[in-house]
Amino acid sequence: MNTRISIEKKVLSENDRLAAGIREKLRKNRVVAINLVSSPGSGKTSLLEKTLGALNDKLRMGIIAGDVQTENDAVRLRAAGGRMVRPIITGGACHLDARMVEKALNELDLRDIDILFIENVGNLVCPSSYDLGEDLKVVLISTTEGDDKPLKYPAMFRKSTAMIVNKIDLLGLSDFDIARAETHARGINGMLKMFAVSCRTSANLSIWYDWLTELVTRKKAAAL
Amino acid sequence: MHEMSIAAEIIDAVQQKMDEQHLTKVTAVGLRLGRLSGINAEALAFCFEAATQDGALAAAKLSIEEVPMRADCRTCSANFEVEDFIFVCPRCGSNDTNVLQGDELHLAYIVAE
Repeated sequence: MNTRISIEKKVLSENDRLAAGIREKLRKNRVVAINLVSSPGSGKTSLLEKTLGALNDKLRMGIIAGDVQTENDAVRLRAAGGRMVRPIITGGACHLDARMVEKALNELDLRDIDILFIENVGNLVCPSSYDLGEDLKVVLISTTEGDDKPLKYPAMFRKSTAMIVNKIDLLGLSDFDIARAETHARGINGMLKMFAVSCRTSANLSIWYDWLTELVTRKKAAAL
Repeated sequence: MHEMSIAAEIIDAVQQKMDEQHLTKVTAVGLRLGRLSGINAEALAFCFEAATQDGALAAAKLSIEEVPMRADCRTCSANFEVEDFIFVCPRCGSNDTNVLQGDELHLAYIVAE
């Protein structure tokens, strides 16, 4: 005899439980946490290097650097002045999950951090399924990619709070059209905050720094 | 490709239920899946089958119910189905919308013998 047994449980409920614990810890310590996602090579590490260079004296930054195989990103971020950098090597896995982040967080003292960046593995699909306890996701694309990236990876753009277009110094050398990329992204997520920057020339990065500083202020006031 | 880790999570949850209720054979596993979950149904079905070649779930078929994406408009309150990930209100054109469903990745039921 066949019996149907109802379960009604989120498949990732264990990940969500751990993420909720992380979120609570971050809330108590008033730490802003940003889950930074992109394809490989869009410039996540470059953006963080620049951000360290500009804000290291003003904001206390923690960084969890996810990588499939090496600690190269963490090494770069320490060389750029990162004092609280923890690498996560996923060993082939295409995304970070809350368990990995929790473990890395245990090696950081949240009382010493104003803003925590979680540099995810370069991938716009898999990381969209895993809550890491962050306040918000920032998705990064670059002008050497297609301007239809938002259409190809809509779930990630829907779940992000801000979109950064990097490498604007190369505009004109490819067919990438910023207005088109933004239009595609806005159809999916009308509330996306947009940045267009160059990590190489530092163009427009001050707008990004101001936004981060404002996020920290809001978090300290428990308004984020 | 994270469907293999998702398949493993599903198998663990089913196994746990089987242990709790002393079940020996499961013939179907029902899943509710929305496109916003970031999971590809076909890839997941393939991984599930590969991971249940033998063992207690060898007879289990994965049955996936796709949940359509729905949203409501924060401007005019219209409730609409989202097609092709275009989250724009069909009534007033606003893109300030709130997702109501479509990000499900839920284990709904199992069928046991």
